[in-house]
Amino acid sequence: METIDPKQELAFIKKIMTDSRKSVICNGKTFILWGILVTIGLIGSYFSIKSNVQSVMNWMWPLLMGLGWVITIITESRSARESKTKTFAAKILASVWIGCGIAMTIIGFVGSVSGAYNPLYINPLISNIMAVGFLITGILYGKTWISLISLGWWAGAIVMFFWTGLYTFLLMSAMMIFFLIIPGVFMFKQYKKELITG
Amino acid sequence: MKEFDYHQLDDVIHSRIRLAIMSVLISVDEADFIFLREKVRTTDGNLSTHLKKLEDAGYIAVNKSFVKRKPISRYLLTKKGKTAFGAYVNRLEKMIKK
Repeated sequence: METIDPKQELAFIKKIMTDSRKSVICNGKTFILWGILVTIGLIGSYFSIKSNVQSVMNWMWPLLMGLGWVITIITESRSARESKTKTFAAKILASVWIGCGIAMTIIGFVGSVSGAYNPLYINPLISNIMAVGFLITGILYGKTWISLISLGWWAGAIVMFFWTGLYTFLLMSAMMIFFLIIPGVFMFKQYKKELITG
Repeated sequence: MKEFDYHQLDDVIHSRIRLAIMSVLISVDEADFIFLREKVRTTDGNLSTHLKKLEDAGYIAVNKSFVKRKPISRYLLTKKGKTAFGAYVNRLEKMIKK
């Protein structure tokens, strides 16, 4: 009678499952793209307000956001087609960031145009949403350092809610660089590494 | 070490490569041929043979499409496959508890 060791079989299954779940679910490209676009917008807004040419913002933000959404839709749909796997975690992650993106766009445009709140509160509101996005991303990605970035976004939101002012555009730009672009670069490097090592 | 009769297990899954394929597919919703080959660590021919056996048993399904004019085959577990895999793992666990 042929025999096998059930413990070894289960250990083998567990190892394969763990290894498969390690697949990187986020390549960081979208973070880099939006980080760059929003940083340009924030610095542009800061100087346009300082120079009293606020009309620049009327076309700059719609242009940057429109560009961001078009590039995101094209690149993400291409990535989804070319991806080696489709995971439930990746689906949740995409839904979370689409939801965050729509919420931030509404806060940035609709909220300020309607006059519901002072436009200086756009940055702390958006910072709060970014924090939620990063917290969930870190959990789905299985990386604590990504979840911890949310603390930076929340801390920034508190600072900007208490001390409003033009400087918040520069603070938000720095947060975009340190809490969005740089993490995006790390994620992209991780993704590239996985592509090479398989 | 406890050992048991392998005949008590599902013959279709009870092969190192087919078990590995099922384990990969239970972890991800869908996986293409290259991903499976990397995780299962076998040759193209061997993988194809085992995928065919699982497909014939109705445990996996294949979605074929073209990306940049290249044919891509994506594999996923069927409901029957998920049930069979669950039963296989349960059986192993019961054997350990005995």
